[in-house]
Amino acid sequence: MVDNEKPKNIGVYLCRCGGNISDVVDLQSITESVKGENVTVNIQDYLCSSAGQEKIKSDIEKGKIDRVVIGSCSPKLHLETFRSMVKGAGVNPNLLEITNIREQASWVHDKEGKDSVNSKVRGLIKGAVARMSSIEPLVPLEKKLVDRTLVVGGGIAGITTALELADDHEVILIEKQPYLGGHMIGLSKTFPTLDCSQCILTPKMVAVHNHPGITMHTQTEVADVAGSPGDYSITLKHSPRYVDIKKCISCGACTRKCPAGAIFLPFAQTVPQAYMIDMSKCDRCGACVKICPRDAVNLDAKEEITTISVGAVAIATGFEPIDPSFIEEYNYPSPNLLTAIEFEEMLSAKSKTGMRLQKADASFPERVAFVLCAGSRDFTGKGRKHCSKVCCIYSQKQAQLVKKMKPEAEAWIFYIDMRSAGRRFEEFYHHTQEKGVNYVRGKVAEIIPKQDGTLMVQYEDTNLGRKGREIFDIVVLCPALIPSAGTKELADRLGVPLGDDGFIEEKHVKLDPVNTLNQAVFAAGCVLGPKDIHDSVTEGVSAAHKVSQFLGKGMILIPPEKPMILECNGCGDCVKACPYNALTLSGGKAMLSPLACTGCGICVPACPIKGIEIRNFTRSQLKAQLKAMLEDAPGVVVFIDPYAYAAADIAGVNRKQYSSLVRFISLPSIHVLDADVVNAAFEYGATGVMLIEGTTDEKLASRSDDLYKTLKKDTRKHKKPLRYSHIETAQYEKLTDLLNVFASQAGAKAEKRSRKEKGEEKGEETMDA
Amino acid sequence: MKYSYYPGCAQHGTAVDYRMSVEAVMSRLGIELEEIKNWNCCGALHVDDRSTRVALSARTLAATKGLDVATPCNLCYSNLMRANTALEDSDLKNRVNGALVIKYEGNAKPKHLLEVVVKDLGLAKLVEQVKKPLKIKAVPYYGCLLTRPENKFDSPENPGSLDNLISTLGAEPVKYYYKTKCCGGPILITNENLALELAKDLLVMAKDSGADCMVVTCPMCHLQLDAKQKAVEAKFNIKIDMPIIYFTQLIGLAMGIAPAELGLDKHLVPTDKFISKAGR
Repeated sequence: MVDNEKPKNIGVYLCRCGGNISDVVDLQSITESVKGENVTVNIQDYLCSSAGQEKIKSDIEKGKIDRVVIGSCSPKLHLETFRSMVKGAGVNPNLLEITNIREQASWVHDKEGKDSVNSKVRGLIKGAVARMSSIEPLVPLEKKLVDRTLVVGGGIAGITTALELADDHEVILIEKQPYLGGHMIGLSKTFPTLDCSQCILTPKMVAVHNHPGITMHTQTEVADVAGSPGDYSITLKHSPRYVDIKKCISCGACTRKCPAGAIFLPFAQTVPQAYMIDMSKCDRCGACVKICPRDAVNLDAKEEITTISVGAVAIATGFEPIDPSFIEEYNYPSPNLLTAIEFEEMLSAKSKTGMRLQKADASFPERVAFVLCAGSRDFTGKGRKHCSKVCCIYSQKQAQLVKKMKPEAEAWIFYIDMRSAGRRFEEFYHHTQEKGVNYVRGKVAEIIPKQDGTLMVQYEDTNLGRKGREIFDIVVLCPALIPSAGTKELADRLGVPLGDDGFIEEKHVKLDPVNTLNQAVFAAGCVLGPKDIHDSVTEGVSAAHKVSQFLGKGMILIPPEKPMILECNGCGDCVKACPYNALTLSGGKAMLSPLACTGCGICVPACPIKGIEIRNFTRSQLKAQLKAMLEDAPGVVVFIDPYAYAAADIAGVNRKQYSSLVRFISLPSIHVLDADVVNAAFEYGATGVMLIEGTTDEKLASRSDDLYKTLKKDTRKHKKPLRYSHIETAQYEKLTDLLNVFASQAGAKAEKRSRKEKGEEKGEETMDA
Repeated sequence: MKYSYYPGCAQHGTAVDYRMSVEAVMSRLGIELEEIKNWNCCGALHVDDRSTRVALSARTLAATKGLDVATPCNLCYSNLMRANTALEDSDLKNRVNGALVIKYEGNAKPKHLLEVVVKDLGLAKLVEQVKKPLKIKAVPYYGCLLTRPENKFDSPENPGSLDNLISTLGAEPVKYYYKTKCCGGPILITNENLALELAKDLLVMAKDSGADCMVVTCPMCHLQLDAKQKAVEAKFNIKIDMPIIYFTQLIGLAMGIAPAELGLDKHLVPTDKFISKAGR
């Protein structure tokens, strides 16, 4: 299309990935069928190695090629690496694309016949080559960043992130609770050193409070997110405290006067140091208002809404314990049956018993049991599959505390596996054994509350091969740690995918542990999975560094695949269609504000005269790719957006098999599609077409149904199946199930049609899948 | 509502009180039970050989004429359910059918009478028949075989259907942790000491809960908890005095049926105090 005079020399580089790809895909035969006049093909053991990259670079420098198609692992892993390499060699980074033949081929089709996998990969590469010869070089747009960060969550991870950042960048820290400290302020002694939690945390909380670079809001949550990475406008909801934090001097006069016990300081070390009112108890007598020497109490305070402007967000919303009442045989809640969090709180700064361990009748327990894995490591579908990681160590710490408070008291730990890996933890395990704590390897079958307040624990001791039953004064359940309530809503608003365990998905499990798939959103602490204080702090420091690196650039690069307005009759349909107000009518013509545009492409099918195209995803470019992809063998074409693409990647990593008839075409959003492209797919031999999107952006997802209905109507003449589905990143199993069902339906339908055609007349197309 | 009816041996022996209450209550609730002709023993828990046990139930199930099969006994119910599962194995099915005159295709649907009342009839219908709400506290005791390994109408670990039935009759189901614990009945002959100990655990917890009676769904549980209650009291030197009531008897009382028609005078643990309290 563009730049037609100069022939384009495309270099195709296929990666063996040390057998990960080449054991399944016959790369040599792919080479033979793909190479041509302007197309050279080269196979490397590891393309990502310096040798592999050097080969591409030298081919460019020798003038052999000027465009690159790579067949390798997911672009999520190495696209940036390859693109900066070709940029160094003088080629526009856009003119390098990766075809994913590992996560989307060799890892998920290795149980199928080699021919069908080869056929798929051949199609994908040919499609990619056709696409590469049709696209144009583009330069990313630049947008100025807002140099301010929102840290969500005031636990140890959020506190660390905020403090590490605040010397260089402005920080807004919000916390849902009326005080800082998160779960850590409710802990007693911390393993493995047994230093007191509040003693090490309080100075940090005070530092947050006093830091000039940090604005702190408690009782505050994110209500809405608008804008784009680097330039967010975030709406905050502040619940009323009824006491002005700035005016309150914690004199306590109000508490002494209150007849209802409704006004209180949450605990002595509370930061911010200010009283608050529990309105469910308050009878609005006004005694506190009158007595307060600082005029700090306002019984009519209302929920407030404010809006802030930030460039980056760090999510540190942490965990919550699962409610163990779903484990029916444990009979939680019952008197003297605690969760480990309740046990900790009893001995912490937040204690309501004067930091004394006691039973419901206020006496000290003689026998205490700790039951591990209450709701975690559970594959029955009732609990959570993951290991909560910290319970093995903290339960031993709690057992030590019991023995320390009363050496003749008994402490029993019921465990499945004792997982005390990590520096200083094995020693801690050993030390706990020396203290005389009793370890029983086996899962507790049931916990029966007795009339006298004791609890009977039935268990199996797998070491001795015996069943047993013991009576305890207190039983502590170590509950599964799960993402705190609201994690999904926040992640959805920020366009950050979650894993199927509900924790935030890292950009890369190992190599990008605090980045998310949104370049302006970072995460730290237990929102990324259960972990201890040490690891939360490490991640807080890392997240601060990553935020700082991101903001330090001052600019954010915006993908250049934006709409181009080729023709316009001034009807304004696109202006109405755009969910982001990126299009306006100016002088009777549509005009684009590229920085407001997200490149979703919803304007493309909206234009009645087909005057709008998305750069590098134009109708003709997509058709060229489809044609080449389906040339040799028919398949099921799946148009997929980046969020659902990430689900396919996870399916690949988990080796979830699905039909090799599936051919993905990656789009910035499925909304760029119109009937032109889908009809073309059917004409070139697609047996079925799917539209799969994973975006959590309601502005787009709410319109998908209409898009699907329109496409269904306008492609009806082909009588081939078309389907739409919403798959979030975590739902990779749903994705593969869906792909399998659809591929077999489409296949059956195609077979029926081809039999019919052969019967009636000699079909022009043959269907030899 | 019509069912093929498989009463099980106990209805014609030790559990005559159960039979009386089933007859009195079911006919009034409009539940028609047509007794299977020439039925045989289900094997209870005493037939070790798997194919024999399955064949015993298959013979009964083959004679159900396309109706769902209702049974008042937890052992019968468990055996019928397990036979259906076992017969998914086509080898076993062929072998079993080789021995049967009327072949069994595996399509009969066994139901416990509790399920018939709670689910098929429904508690909303039952409540219309309640004339005298019972002002008592009752232990909902399901026994070990009704809900496990699984049935299609209640949770195996923490069932609730009998609890709901008790509330529907105006009574209060107490919190009871041994809802599905074994009563010891099946081992009474072979290991009496252990059997009595198991029964003691159940009875003591029932007593501690402050209940006026224990409600059962199985003639074997009834035998163990009622008939052997004196033996438990003697062995452990405790006083229990806990009436053991069939759920059908409880329904009957709430419907205003005379206690004698429900067989409540045939229990070994006296029920008169309980009846007068329930009737207040």
